[in-house]
Amino acid sequence: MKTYTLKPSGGDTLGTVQEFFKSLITSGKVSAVLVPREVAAKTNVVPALIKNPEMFGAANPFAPVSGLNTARLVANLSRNLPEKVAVVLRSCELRALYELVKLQQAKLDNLVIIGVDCAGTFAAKDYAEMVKQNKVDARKWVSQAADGKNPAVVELRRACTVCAYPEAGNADIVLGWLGMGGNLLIAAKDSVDLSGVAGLESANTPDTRVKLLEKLAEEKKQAKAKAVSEFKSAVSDMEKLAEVLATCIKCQNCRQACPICFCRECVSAGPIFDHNGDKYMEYARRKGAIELPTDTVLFHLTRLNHMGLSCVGCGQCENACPMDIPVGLMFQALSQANQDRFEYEPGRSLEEPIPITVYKEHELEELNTGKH
Amino acid sequence: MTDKKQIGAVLVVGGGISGMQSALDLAESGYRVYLVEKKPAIGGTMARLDKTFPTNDCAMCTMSPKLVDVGRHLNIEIITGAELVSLEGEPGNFKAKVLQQARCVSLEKCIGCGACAEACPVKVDDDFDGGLGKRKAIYKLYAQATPNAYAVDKSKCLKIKNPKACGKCLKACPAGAIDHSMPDTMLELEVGAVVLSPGFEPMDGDLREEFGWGRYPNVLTSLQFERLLSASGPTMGHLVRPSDHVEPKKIAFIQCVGSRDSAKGNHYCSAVCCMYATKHAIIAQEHEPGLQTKIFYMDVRAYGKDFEKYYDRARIQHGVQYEKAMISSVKEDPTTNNLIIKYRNADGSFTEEEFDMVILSVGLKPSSGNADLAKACGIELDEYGFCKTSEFIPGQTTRAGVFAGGAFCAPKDIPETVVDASAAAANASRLLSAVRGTLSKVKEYPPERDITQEEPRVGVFVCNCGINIGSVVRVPEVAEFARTIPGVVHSEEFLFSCSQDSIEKIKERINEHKLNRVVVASCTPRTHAPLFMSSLKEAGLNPYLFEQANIREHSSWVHRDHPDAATEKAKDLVKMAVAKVKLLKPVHTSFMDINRRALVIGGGIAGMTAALNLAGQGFKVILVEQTDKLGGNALEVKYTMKGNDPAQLVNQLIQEVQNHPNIDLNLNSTVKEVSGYLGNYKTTLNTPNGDQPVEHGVVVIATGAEAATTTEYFYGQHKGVLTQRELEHRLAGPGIGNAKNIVMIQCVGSRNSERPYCSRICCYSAVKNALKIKEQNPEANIFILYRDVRTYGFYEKYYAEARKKGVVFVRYTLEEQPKVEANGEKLKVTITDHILKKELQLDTDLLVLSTGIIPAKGTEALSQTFKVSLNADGYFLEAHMKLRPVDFAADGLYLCGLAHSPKLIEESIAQANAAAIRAVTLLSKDKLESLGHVAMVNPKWCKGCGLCVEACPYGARVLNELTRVAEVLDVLCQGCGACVATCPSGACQQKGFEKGQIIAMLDASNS
Repeated sequence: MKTYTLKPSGGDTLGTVQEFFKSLITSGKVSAVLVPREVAAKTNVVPALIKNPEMFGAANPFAPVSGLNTARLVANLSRNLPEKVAVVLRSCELRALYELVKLQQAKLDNLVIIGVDCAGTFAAKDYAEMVKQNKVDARKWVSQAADGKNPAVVELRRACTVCAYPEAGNADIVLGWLGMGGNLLIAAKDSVDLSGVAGLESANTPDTRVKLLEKLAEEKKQAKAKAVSEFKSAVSDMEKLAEVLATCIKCQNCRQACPICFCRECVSAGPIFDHNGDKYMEYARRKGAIELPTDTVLFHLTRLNHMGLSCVGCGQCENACPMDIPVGLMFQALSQANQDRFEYEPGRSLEEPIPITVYKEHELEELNTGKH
Repeated sequence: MTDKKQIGAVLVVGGGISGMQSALDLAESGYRVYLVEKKPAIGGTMARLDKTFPTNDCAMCTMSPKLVDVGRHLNIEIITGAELVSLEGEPGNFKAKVLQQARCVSLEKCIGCGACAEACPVKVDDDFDGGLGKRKAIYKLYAQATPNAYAVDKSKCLKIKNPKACGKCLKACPAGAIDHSMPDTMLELEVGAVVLSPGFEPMDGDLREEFGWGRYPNVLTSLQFERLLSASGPTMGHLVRPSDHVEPKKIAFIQCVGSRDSAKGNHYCSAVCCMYATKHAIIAQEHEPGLQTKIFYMDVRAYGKDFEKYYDRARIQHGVQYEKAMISSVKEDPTTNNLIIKYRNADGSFTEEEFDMVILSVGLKPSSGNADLAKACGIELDEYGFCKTSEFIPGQTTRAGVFAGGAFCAPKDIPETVVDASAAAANASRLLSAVRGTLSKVKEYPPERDITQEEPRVGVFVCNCGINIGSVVRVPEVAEFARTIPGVVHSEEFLFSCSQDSIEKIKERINEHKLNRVVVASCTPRTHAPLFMSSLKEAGLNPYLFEQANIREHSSWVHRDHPDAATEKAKDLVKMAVAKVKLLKPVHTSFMDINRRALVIGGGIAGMTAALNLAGQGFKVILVEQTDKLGGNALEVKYTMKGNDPAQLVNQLIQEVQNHPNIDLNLNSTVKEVSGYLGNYKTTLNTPNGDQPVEHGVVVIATGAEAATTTEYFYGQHKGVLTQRELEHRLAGPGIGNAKNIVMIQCVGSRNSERPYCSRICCYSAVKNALKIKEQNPEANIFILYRDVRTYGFYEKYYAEARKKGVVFVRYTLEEQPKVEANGEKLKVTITDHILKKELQLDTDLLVLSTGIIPAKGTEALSQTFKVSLNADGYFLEAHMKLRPVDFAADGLYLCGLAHSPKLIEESIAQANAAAIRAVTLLSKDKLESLGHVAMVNPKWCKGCGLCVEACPYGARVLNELTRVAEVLDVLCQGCGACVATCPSGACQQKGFEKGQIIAMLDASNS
């Protein structure tokens, strides 16, 4: 690991990091950079694949807003990618990308992953409102939130309040600002060549950062444990789960927003759940009354079964839900037991196979004790 | 030998699991087989067993598919009630005379309904149940008997004794199948080879009359106990005492009844009793929670693969007590019928203990008919009355062309029996390979009707199964109900759907009503679907347009006391089956060419033997050995207990391998990469000439194992400390000089928490080397410090001989191990003697450590290369512990020798031959045919995540690198459905179990 600082001239962190991206292209390290770019009204950011080094003007990897998990876009980008591209990702995006690599939906061959620190993000609506009211300034976020605390009056997205990954630790290049007192840290894997990139000064990671990251991770971990246990005690059986999901309209926004769900079409949208009048009447006759659309609990449980082990907790599903169902929390709570059982932390390492791919007949003996 | 003189048929004598395996292997390898069985049905002893060790699998459940395969095989002719009476001719061309007793029941006509037996007035003790139950003079051997037909016990039948008497069965039989005047017939069979597998008989319970068997009602033999545990036994699996039909609370098992007993029984060890008693104790406890079990033993011989773990499980998890003690008497308390066992403890004191039941673990003895059989076919028996074979040609009798398998040669357990049976088949097949396929038949079917444009026209056939279904489920009502289900155009009930006449009727109805779907509501598809499906095929329908509703196991049997509910459930099951069958599509199997070359990995005895057998059967073999010479571990074995010289064997094998035109030998070579699959492997070998690509159809893994070493007991530090193998080298070479006091410690590094298995050969080796020392220096003092002496089978003889020659055996336990002190040149071994109750201090010149066997280096890597499993101890894991001991789960891969588990040379040879014939069953096919119900992929939905590839245990799923879509290799797919369950996108489905079909069943069940 090689570590550097990027000292912002005149406190302009954003300008400095834009220069850094530019230099990655001009020094020939990569051909393009995928990075969030502010929309004209500055009320949100969208990922932009920037090829022209002169066009980083609106790039802002720090803006605390997250309307989608970029991992899915990176997966598409990564297939048949002819040249090296740097992609700027938050930890949740990076971890989702790693899961997609294991699921053979993405390739890392020509990617240089720049992992940017994240102290949490706001929902798109909240962020836009704050921008309009001048309650947040994306240019100053790095110094305002450098201690990891939310300086705004509005709550972060729920998923971010329980995310124990402020640093995108597994990236090729870590772009750090937490605990840096307004400076930027560049920590690159030994395999990454940064020679000729402008503005880098060799330096050690400051202790303040190391300690802050540890503290944040621990606090959020506890917050997650609390949220999960509250959810579990409130949702202790199938009936209660059905209540949580009662308002689901099966719009599939959650699956659309999920970075892990990679199927072309969800089985729940397929012919098996495409019933006709006779079937509905049959169901209604049997139960006396049924709520439409049907199979909503089955839809969520199926999705949970398919991707629960890989859920990185980015919470996009929850933000996408028009009915305000706590889908993300539900996924985290219901996946926890399985992730714990296999000591599997999604996105932690490419070396750790997804448990279902290495299941052996003689493991989980407790499941095989049925007497014959 | 010329083709003209050879006959491509084999006679197999004995229809137990051994004979069945030989018959199947030979029939699948292109020979016609006559399977001659003395009893009225095949199945042998295994059919009588409840569960099997060490997996606790149900014996009948694992065996019945084989029964079905044998019974239905076009090239196996089962001849029951018959014995071989003479054998003339020469290898390749024998004339066998077989005397078949009149069955007095026509196999063609009998529908197995049981009406005859119900009418028969004569009750006799049922031998099958060890005399615990009764049967009639006309009887079926057991419920699942193959052939599924009754037979008259001529020694008991009243009408046989007096033609004018009785005849009640004649009146009762609805099929007119009984004919008491049926004559015995003498068959003359022309065969090229003979395989003898008449099995064994259990020793008599009264061999040790002091144990009270036959006098005390609650003293049973182990086989009787087996029947008592069995769901098909005299108490339907209800564990009760014969005296009062009360559940026992405390059971004793007495080991070695008739075995290891030169005074009253036989001096050999019966090899299986320790494990079956352990099984009995575990299973009995499952029957009766809180039951106490105690096994009185001499040594616990848990020497086989995964046996030690089973023994551990019995003690630790199940609390089975093991008491090393001699029983001096068993007395009955006449008021309670309880039994009081008086036994001598290790220290010489006596204890009395009361039990509710006592089970005698009787040994295995040669079949009483062995002498006649030996005479009939001109072979010799050994000193005990088992078949005489020689150590390095196991399974070869004293007459060429006549081979032996199973417990005919020695007491052995099921896996070894199956191995021997396959090995005997391999030898017969090798002898006759020039005439392979000359007498085997192929069945012809009419062309298939195209039904794809037709609306479903379903025929439902509801079975009474004699009284099995009909006495509980109201079958006429179910048949009537079926008629009301939309799509059903015909419904009918049968007494027995599987009888020949019913099968004919199904075919008639298909044509008469233009049926294009068939539902049979009867028993389990596991045993009967192939029969019904082939009747569809014979009527010109695709056989997969069939669905079976199991209204016997799933309804009448389990709801015996609730006929109304059982009838309703049967209707639901029929409704579900109809819902599904309407959605079924014709399934066509696919075929694949096969590369007839075999890759054998490992040039030890196992590898060379397998290679030579395959080469001898006309197949090309690529033999790969990683070192610069052939021979493997056998090069380290200087002599065997029986006095044979392994070097001679190795040299002979090397000569043959080097000179065989079919064998391509690659020394200093390893397998680098493997791609492809069954029938079409493409492998890269790493050879001294660089990477060599080879292509082959099958793989035999014979990569051996290694001698373990140790750091205990000053090994490597003191020159007086050797391993057993090093001792053997010295004894065969310079000798051990003037070493006078030799101490051997057994189980060094074995049977402990780090290496929880027994290495099987160490007790053998210790006794062998001790005898060699005594031979070289009768004055030497030899102490063998052991935990259990596991000289199983006939090797017991040498253990007795060693004791007679003054070798001292001192037992120690895992908790209290021997201690060794080194003082300069001298060694002192300290051990507590439990008999003398004092500490022995042994001045030792030579300390010999039995360090056991560990898996070979590279085993793990090879298992990944070929995607095959290892067991917890790191040895290759076979497809099924009992019945598929040399197959891997994936077809086309086989294993043998030490790579499977520790074993002796003769056992490796048998396994190698067995692996060879298993490979030949594939290599001898023209093309490989897939199963019908294989997985399939909708390429439009597949996103190439590869989860199915990882989930498939058979290597049948691959990712197409170009299209990024997962594919199914039909011939490898076993239809297990793991990939379907794993696939998140629903791209992967299984034919015959498509999601829509299953949902239709679910909906039908709820409607």
